[in-house]
Amino acid sequence: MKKIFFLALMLAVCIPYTIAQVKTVTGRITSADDGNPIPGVTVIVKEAETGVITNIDGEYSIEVPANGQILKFSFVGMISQEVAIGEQTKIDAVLQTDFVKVDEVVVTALGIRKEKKALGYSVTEVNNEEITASRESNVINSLSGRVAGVQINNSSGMAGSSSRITIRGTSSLLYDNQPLFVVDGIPFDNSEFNVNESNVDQALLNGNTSNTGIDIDPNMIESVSILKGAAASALYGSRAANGVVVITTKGGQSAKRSGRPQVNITSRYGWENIIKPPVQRKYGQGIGGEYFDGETQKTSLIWGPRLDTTDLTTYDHFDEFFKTGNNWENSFNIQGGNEKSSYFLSYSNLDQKGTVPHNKLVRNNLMARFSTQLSDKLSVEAKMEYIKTDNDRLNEGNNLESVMWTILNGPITYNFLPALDENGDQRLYRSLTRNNHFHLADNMLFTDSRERFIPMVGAGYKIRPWLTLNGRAGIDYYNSTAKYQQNVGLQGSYPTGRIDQTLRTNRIFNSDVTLAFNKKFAYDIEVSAVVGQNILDMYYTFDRIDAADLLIPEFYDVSNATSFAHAEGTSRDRTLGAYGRATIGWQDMLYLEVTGRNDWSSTLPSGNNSYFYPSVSLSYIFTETFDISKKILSFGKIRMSYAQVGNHPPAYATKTSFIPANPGDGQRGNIDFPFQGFGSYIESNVMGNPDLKPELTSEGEIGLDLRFLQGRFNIDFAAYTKKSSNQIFQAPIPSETGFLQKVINAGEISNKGVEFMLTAIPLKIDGFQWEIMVNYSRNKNEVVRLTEGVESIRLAGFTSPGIFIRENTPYGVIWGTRYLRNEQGQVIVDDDEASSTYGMPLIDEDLGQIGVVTPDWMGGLRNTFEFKGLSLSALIDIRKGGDLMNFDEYYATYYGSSIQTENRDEPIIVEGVKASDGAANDIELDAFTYYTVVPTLADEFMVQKSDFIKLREVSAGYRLPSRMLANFFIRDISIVFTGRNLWMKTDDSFTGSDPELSLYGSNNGQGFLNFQMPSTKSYSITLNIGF
Amino acid sequence: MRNKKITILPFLFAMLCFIFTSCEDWLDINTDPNSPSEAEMTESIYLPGILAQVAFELTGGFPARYPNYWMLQVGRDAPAPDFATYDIDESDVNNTWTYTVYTAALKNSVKMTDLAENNGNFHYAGLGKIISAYIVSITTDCWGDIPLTQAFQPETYPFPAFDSQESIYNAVFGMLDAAIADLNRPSEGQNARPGAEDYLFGGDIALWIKFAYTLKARYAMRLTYAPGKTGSAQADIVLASLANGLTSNDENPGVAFSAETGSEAPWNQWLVKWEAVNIWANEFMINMMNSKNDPRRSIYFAPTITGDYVGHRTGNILLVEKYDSTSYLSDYITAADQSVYLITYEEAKALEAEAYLWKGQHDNAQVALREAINANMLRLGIDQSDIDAYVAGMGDLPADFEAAQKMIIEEKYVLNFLSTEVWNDYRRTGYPVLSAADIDNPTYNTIPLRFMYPADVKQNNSLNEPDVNWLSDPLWWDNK
Repeated sequence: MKKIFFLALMLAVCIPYTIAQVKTVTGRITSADDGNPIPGVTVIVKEAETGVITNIDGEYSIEVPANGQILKFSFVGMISQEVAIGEQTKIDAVLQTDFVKVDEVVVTALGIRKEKKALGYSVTEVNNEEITASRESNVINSLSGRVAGVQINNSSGMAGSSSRITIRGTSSLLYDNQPLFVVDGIPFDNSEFNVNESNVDQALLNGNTSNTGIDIDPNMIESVSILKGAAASALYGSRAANGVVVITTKGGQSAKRSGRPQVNITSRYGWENIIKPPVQRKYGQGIGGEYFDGETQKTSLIWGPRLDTTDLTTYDHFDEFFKTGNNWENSFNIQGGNEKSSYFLSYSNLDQKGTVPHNKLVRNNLMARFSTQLSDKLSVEAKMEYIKTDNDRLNEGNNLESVMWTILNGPITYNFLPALDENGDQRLYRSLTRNNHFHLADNMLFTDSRERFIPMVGAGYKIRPWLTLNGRAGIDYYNSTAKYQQNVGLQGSYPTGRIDQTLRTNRIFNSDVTLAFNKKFAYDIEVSAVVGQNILDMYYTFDRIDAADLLIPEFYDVSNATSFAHAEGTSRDRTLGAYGRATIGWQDMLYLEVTGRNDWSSTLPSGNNSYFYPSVSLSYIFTETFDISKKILSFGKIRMSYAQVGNHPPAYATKTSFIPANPGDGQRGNIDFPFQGFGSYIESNVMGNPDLKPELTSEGEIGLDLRFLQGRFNIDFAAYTKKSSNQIFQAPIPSETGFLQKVINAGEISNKGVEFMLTAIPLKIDGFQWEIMVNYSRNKNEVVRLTEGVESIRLAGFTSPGIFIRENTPYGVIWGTRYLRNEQGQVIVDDDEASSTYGMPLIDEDLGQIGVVTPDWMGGLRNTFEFKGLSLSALIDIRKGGDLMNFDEYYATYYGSSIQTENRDEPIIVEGVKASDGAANDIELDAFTYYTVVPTLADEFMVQKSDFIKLREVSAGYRLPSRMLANFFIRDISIVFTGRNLWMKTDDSFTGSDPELSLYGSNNGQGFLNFQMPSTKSYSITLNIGF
Repeated sequence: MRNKKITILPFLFAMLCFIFTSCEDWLDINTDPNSPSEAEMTESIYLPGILAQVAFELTGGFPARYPNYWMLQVGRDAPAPDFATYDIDESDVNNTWTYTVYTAALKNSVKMTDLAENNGNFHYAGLGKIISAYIVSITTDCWGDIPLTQAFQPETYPFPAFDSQESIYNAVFGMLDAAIADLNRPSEGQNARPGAEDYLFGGDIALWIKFAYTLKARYAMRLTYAPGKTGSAQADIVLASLANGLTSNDENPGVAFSAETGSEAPWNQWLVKWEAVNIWANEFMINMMNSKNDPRRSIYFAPTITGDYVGHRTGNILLVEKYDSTSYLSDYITAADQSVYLITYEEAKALEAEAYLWKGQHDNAQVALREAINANMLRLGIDQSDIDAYVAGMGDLPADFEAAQKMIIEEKYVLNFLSTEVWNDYRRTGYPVLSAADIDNPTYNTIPLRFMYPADVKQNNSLNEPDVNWLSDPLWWDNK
């Protein structure tokens, strides 16, 4: 009895032990393509949801619990495999490349990686190779032409100039329409500041500056995810109403985790030349055919003799002034680690000299990133980034200190050098009310220096395999000094010199704490959910001193100035957010996602500062349901979503403020306070609103994702309709109320559009591959409603001509004086012989719409050829249907430098009908009379089409095959030759350098072009070595 | 396991609660740190900004400058069409209406007055009313019907209606009379009184009272032909007011500018920062002054290289080779440290002259006119002997009313050089006799009778905009 009991006891003890026994399974994973081992493959036991990754030799070792039956191998870009474990302890696997990319993972809101197939909305990823291949200093420019629905505009040809990016049109009447930039989970400030903080029209007189997003180092980017619609960006809250550009830098999850450290060195050398705008080169300086030499006889007019009848020397002012710009970029990074920890260090340096004298952009980026697994539940990471950017530029725009005045309008018979005469005065071909551009360039400069610190820390705690707590906090902090300096002795508003200096500090603190839940349930249902809390604290302050009257010339220190005006401002904006997202997936085929977010904002009236906005989306992979041959339609998904995003007002809009008095004459004259020893404040002309509500954008989107022929032919299509209402803007109100504007909720903008993207691999044989990418997008934008009594709001330019917002038209109409037309739309010509405008168009007494800035459609086409290690690709960028106001022509036609005035031999007959009898107009005008008067009659003369087809990028590269390097220390070598903006076709009406040029930079007022530096064509050679 | 699950949720909940209770304080930061609060704004903080703006943007600004070209006091060196050939539009006149008057100078003047009345600071209230009356009169003399009773009350009147010019002038007189009453109140009991920040008089209340009376005289004269008024009755008001008005050149209300950057006088800034070429004398005015050997020529204008005075005819470019043979505006007039006078003793005397004329008292009129010329020339630094010679050469005031009025207004034309009053007197009386024929290439056949309503009104208050033609519809008081 005792024996049996004892035996039973032994057995009872042994059996559980046997049942609880864990076995170790090992194996090696290789690629089906080339038989090479694949490091970093995720190996998990499906039932236990524990996992390991393969090492550099493709080997893994995993402990399988007793209930473990299936091992799953997955790796990005390869088809996952599941293998039954059974009794085996060694399981190898060969993974196939997933051309259909069924399990592709993309980065979505909050940096959360999700399988693309589960998304009910459009997310486009641009991989880092495309970004770095474009070799653009301003990372925004590298996105141009690549993503449907995204419009990029590079505003000036100077190094460091700003670029404007909009996604799916413009939805905010007056506030920033650009998307939110997020780098590794922290919002990354991308602002453009004007020379005069409080006056966006300063751009009219000085040109634009740079956008702070230019600090992003393209070499550090691993991927860029564009979240285009409201559904995609709903979790980001207010600032994401215009879409989100989610940037993930290298060294995070993908960091190398085993083996020896990897080093990468990239070195690039590039050069650029201007794209010269045309000017007439047939006639010299003078009046009425008579030559004026610009020395003994001066005139601003270039209506002199035909040059082929004289032997006068001619000069090309563009070639003389602009030079070949060049730039060096060097980037170095090292990454490494082991199974528990990884590190990533990188340093990049960019030194770019533009085509314009003194124009340069120097940028230094230093980044360090560490992450480590403290225990099997707790992981932490930390990142620190330091960026120093310095940008020097010259003035652009409609003031006398702008070099393009005389470069564009200087007679070709006049030699601008030497710049000074024997008395040390400026030499000029006309009365001394302009500046000699050589002298000007050496006596005026705008410098912008910025130092930026971006620390970030994060931690993740796996409470359970299916429940993770994550926290991430970071700061984007920068200090900048923007200084405009001008020497004594220049023509213009500041003949005694000027220093205009603004010190700025900007700090964004962002923290997110989330709880993530991921569990599979019965009936093939998988639920993943996130709830989280967000703290966003934004602080901005500026201090501006505007000083003039330099005592000692060329000494640009504020102590050297003898009078100044001073202004400062501070803005604080805090938001608390609580959000949640739940995704329910069924059979890996049908996914439903629901989000909700509630924000409490400091800028809304207290007591009424909370607002909530939800979204819902559905994704259905119908190829899983129906029996369609995977060879033909390998993957098909239909997706639809509806989302709302709220937005809160800017700071301090709920009260009216008082401002320092500053009388002016509306042109350039002004009185600075303190005046005669006394200071003064007056009430501002913007009325605060204590009843402000948040804005709301609602968007519905449907889409199709079809992949044919095993990934050889893919189509992605999206159609959306977006309505932005309760817009917060400073609505103009009758000035007789005492205010120019009142901050109100009103207005509605609608954007409807389609986005289409096609990628195909038409040819793939024997190591040669040809890939085509086509994208097309069309956005129909309409300002549905402004508000009662407000017909229009001015965005840029003058009152006439200007760029305005008007009801029932697309955002950004060009408004100004125009010709008088009859009912058939024909121009009515003045046939009164006594009139001073005989033979010229009559003018409509009402101002009217003379153009629309927003384009009809945009597209891109890219062809890539790869053969063994060689690759060749070309990207074409197309835009059609918009107009711009080329204000240069207002001056250039009058002076006689415009290319339009080239044919002076023939009389000009204005196309139209005569006023008195409606007969076809036959009145001849000589070229001088026509060009010196008609352009000044009506602004419509200067409206030109901004259509373009650009050969945006051509790149050719070679990467040494890895087997050649196997025995060397080097892991990877490649060399790439890139050309940007090599060729451009514009509309015949366009007479400038580049229709993308925009005086207001990245501000809302686009389409106004005046005295800007020409755009450039650039080339570069890049060498990349990896150890 | 179960225990852990339970403890996590309350912990999270507690965390969230903690956050929410302190969040209201954390979010309560929406006050602009760079703006004084309304409670901190005092009358002395408003006043300098208002006065500087009035002088720079009104008296010496657009409402004077463009009409000065039309009145042929200055000649414009630009080809037609141009603002000097009457080619202006709703955006040209917009700055004055929108940025100067309604959202700045007048609004703040009214606000300061209300504040002063609430505080019992009657002297400041009086100043405010005078300044408001002054601004309103310039505005109505440019545009005619303008909003006033419904202005500055955005909650009640989001789209202010336009008051008739007649009621506007009633309001102007009302404001001046109320101001005089306020200024006559004793100083005791007032917490704050105007002081050195008052650019016009440094806080001298007696002078402000004289200023108010002289303004009354100017405006009373304006209405001599207005419907429902008679010249004789208006002249009585003029003379009664002038009896309490300015008494010498030393009492002229003016804002002094200086050569410091950002403090220069308006014509100086206009010349340097915008025209950037010389501003020329006009052929019409030069010819008038030449025919009378007016010694003020050398003060207002520069002689040509041959020592004589030649004007430019507006409507043409002036070719560079003609620069030496044309007179430009003198350095004195365009000096950075010039002063801008809202009204002068010499104009008061000229008003007196015309008032006596209306009353049929030619002798008194002549005395007053000569005193006006004398005061003006002395202020400009001309020798008494030259003044006497000029006056002797003038001849007597004609017996005929029209001829006499013409003489007075033509003298006023010269002594009110670059003032807004010149255009007012021209429209009221028809003198001096000039027309579109005196320029080349006029864009329209008549000199404008008013400004068109500005872009701001057409865009934002179009339903209330009166239907008038700026070229052909005269103002209410322009009724001769």
